[in-house]
Amino acid sequence: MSFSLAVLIPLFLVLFFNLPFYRISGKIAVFIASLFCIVQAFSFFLPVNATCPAVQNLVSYFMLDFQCDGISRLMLLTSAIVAFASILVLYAMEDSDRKQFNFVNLILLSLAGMNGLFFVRDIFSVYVFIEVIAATSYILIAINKDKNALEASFKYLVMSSVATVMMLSSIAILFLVAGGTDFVTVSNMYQQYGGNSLVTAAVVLFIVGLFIKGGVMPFHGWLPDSYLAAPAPVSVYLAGMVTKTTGIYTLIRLFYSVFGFNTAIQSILLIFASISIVLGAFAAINQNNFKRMLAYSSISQVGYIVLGFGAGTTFGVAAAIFHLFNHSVFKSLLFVNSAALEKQVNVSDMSEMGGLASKMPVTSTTSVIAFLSTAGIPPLSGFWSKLMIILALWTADLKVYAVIAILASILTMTYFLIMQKKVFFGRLKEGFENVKEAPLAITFVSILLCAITVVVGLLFPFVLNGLINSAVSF
Amino acid sequence: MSVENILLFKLYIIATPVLFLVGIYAIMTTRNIIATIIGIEIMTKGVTLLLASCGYFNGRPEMAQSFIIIMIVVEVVILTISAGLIFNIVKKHDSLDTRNIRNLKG
Amino acid sequence: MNILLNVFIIIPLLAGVLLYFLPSKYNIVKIIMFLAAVSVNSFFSVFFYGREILFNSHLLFRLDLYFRYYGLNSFMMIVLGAAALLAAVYAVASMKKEKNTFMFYAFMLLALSFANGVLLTDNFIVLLLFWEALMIPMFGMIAAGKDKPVWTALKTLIISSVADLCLMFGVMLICAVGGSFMISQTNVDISQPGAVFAFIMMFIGAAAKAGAMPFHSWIPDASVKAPLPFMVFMVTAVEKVLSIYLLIRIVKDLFVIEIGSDISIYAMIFGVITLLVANMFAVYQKDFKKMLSYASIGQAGYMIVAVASLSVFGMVAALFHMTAHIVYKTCLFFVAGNIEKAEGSTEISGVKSNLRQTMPYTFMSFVLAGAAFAGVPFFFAFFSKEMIYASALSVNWAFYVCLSIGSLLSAVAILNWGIKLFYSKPKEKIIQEKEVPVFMFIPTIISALACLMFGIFNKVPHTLVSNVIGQVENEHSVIITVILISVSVLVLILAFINNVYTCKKRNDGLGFIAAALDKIKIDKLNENIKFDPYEIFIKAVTKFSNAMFNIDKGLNYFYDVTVPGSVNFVSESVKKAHTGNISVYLLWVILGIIFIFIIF
Repeated sequence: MSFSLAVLIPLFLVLFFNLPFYRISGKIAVFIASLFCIVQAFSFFLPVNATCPAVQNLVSYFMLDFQCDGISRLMLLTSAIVAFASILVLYAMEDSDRKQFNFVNLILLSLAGMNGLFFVRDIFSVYVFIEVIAATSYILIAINKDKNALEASFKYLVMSSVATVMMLSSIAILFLVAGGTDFVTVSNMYQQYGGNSLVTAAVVLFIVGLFIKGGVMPFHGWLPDSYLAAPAPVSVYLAGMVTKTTGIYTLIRLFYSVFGFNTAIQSILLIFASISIVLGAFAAINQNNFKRMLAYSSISQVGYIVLGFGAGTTFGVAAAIFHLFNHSVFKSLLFVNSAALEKQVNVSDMSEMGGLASKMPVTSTTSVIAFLSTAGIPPLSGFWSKLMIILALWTADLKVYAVIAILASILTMTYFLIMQKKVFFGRLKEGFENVKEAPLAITFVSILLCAITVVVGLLFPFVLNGLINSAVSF
Repeated sequence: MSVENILLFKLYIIATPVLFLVGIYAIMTTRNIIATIIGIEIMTKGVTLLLASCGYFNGRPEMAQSFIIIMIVVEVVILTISAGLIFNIVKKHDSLDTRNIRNLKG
Repeated sequence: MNILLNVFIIIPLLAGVLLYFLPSKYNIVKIIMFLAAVSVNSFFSVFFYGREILFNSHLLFRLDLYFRYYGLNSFMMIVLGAAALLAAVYAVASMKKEKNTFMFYAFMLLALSFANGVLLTDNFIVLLLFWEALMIPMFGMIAAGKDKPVWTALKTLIISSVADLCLMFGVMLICAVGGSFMISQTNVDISQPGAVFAFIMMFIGAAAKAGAMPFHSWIPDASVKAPLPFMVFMVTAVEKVLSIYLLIRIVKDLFVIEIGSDISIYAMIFGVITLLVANMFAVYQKDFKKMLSYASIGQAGYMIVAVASLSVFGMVAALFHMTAHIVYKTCLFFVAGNIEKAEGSTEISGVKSNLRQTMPYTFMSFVLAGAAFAGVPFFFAFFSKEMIYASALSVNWAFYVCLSIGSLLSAVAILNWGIKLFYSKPKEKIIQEKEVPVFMFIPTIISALACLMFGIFNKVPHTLVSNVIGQVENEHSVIITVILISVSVLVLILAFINNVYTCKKRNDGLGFIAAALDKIKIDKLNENIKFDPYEIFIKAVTKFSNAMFNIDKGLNYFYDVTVPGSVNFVSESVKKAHTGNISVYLLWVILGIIFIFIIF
């Protein structure tokens, strides 16, 4: 019940910041927002029912139909981490006070929407919260009003609206058949009418809509542009959370709680996931722009998540969730590194960079660790989650997909190594002699995210028991 | 559902995709940014129609009504945001042509 | 007390390692250490003589060495120790004191240690270990010569490895058939399946170490290029000792074969071929050291024939002959070394002065040892040669004929060289003492005198040898003995006539033997390197490696060109597909939906 706090507090914070009576400086806003993120992160580790009656009464007026689940709590942790990283990057990158203030407000709104998304038990509310997140994302991408950002935001808007339309029509058809939109009603209906072609068509439409939002090939057209053109803190936030939650988390939630697994739908998931993995990796190999390459890498990794999820067993779902968490962490880390590069070097074409490892040691080390985690090298966390996905596929008798997943790791290593050589190692290009390490906020975030990756990787057995199993069996 | 209902249902079931198709066609083939937004709106109206009809045939029109109202509110927000985007795009490029926003490639 | 057996292995090993690593200030210390290690070895070999010890020694890291010290071992170790001592003294006296030399000493000690290990052990695996390990000192000793003859050393290594492979294979088979890894517990009847093949492999492996054909071609090369003490110690002493030791074990203990069976006939033929061909080659050589090495190979053939006759008499003969061969060959090599030091080379054309007058002591040693070599009565090797003839005759008279021809050839060769070196007309008229330093010619004299002494008092070595193998009475009739002795004397007279009286006609000292040999075109065969199996092997290996190189190039092309090219192609096309046009992206969406609906 107290989870509605997770939604309400950011909302109230935004309200509080924007009262017309006073002005709050950007720095204070940043501070309060990061405090909230830390609190949210720690709330994952606290027991469920810690409330106090006064707050309870106050909150009961605003109560929405919330229920908590293990997966939701894990997503709370993830979103808190990514939002924290994003806010700190913002603090380091933007100098204007007003801009910081605007950013923080928008991020808090977005966070409210996301937290709401994690707890709803109703398909239509899912739609509402997805729209909340999307709306704030459109503004966030275009907030600096440069040409590329506007274009990217516009494309995102158009494609996301098409996705919304598809989702809504699917909700409508499900509503038609089920008579209600909460999860319980719909799942009962699905068990009864699941074979009906209309219902299957509705489910397929819903999945396609979620694929568009999540950036699975071939429905991913907006994604590279948006990741590329957004300002640095927004890239961190976008890559780390928005695509994952609106796209993939919703998919997992739907299939875990509402629909069961169906062989046909499973094969849809698997095929598109493998296309996404392979083509995403291929497209990333020859990229010249750092952020664009990271965007295609995201597409590839999201493919892995959906692949793990498509295995159909509980083990597969656990693997997918774990990989989602890991991917949020290390992708955010990579985008933080790109923010550091952008701030210090001011060149985004990779072929013009070179040999920066000696000048920016923290950035290069953390980027190496992040890429090792992406490629799935033990003992980092990415290895464990990839291993779980491959094992889930293998035990579910889908050996072909497991082989594809393993072979794609080679491609991952390829673009990773190319990028490392181009940017960080190699000879120092002229003009880069005065490059210094990024400011403290960015390095602090890099080290924090890197530490999370390494610790989760090393303490994997505890993580497995503590987080994942409780998440899945809750 | 009775016989007239089924006929009506079929009518709605055909009308809605027509709206969708018109909307998608508008988005894909226009060269005017504002026309793109109008295409989105057409599709949204199609969904509204579908929702209303589903609510009617379901026997729960009031639930559908609340859904539609929420949906319209959200759409308005999205529309406002898109208007802001278009405004800034036009300020940068001085034209309403979609060919200006094909810059990011590769 | 039994622990002291470890001394044979550890002390030379440690001394060798220390010798190698001490800096050059301590040269004197190093020389003293070298001599001391060898003397300790010889002392202990005498000290332990007569005991029977079966002892499992854990030498470092629980390496079980399973010593077995008994009659055969003890005799061999004394022989080895004495030869090592002589060679060591000669080496210290003759070699220049540079870094190469100390490397040579170190490897010599290592070789001594490993050879002791081979002799002492009772376990097949440990035997193989030490046998193979001997290749390292061999390589090192050859490579320590003048001008660093690494290719010769490599040739040695390759040929020895092939022979060792045969031995390894044979050992594996016999362990499988006999069921045990201990030599003293293996006694396999030749009729068991696989035993014949094991016998053949082991026989080849053991005989090849002595220099049987076709594993012989490294010995002449090494004799010219490697330092002289290497020839004395390794080729003459260690190789022959180990080879005969293993051959006797094979024939006596490991396998149970009937006397006169087919296998032994084939083995004797193998020995006879070696004997004849090597002695024929020896006649033609233009370099004294090369002649000596071919003669060594020929004598190895004698020993193989004796062992392969399978009688106890033959084994005693082989052992006796081995000892005699070591003594006189050592002396002859020392003579060669002295000549080399005095004159600069050992080729016929290199001898400039009348050595009979300038190096009298060397001349005397040569006479004594040469007589022993030819088989003159009352010298060391005469008695052993008679015993070999007797054992060969007891199998088949044809072998006896071949053996006699072989000894004729070797007598011709040594007489030829005697005349050339000591009786030719000098080119310079310098008559001055050019005798070599004292310590170089003391070993020479000692070994020469030993030839004479043991020849006269030949009961001493005979008893020693018989003690270790088995008492054997000369059971042949008096008539046969008379025939044997008279044939040998006839051979010697023939050789003498040949050289002294017909050399005047042909002026190369070889007489009618050369005419006979020319008909067989032996000399062409020797000069023609194609007969050398090592060279044939190397040519085949070169062709094979060329083919592999081309395959590797093809693979590299695939990996370096094809794979990245295709990856780049796919990547570029995916990139190009992303135009910035949003209609295109929406088109993909619609295509995706249609795809789903078609498939499902």
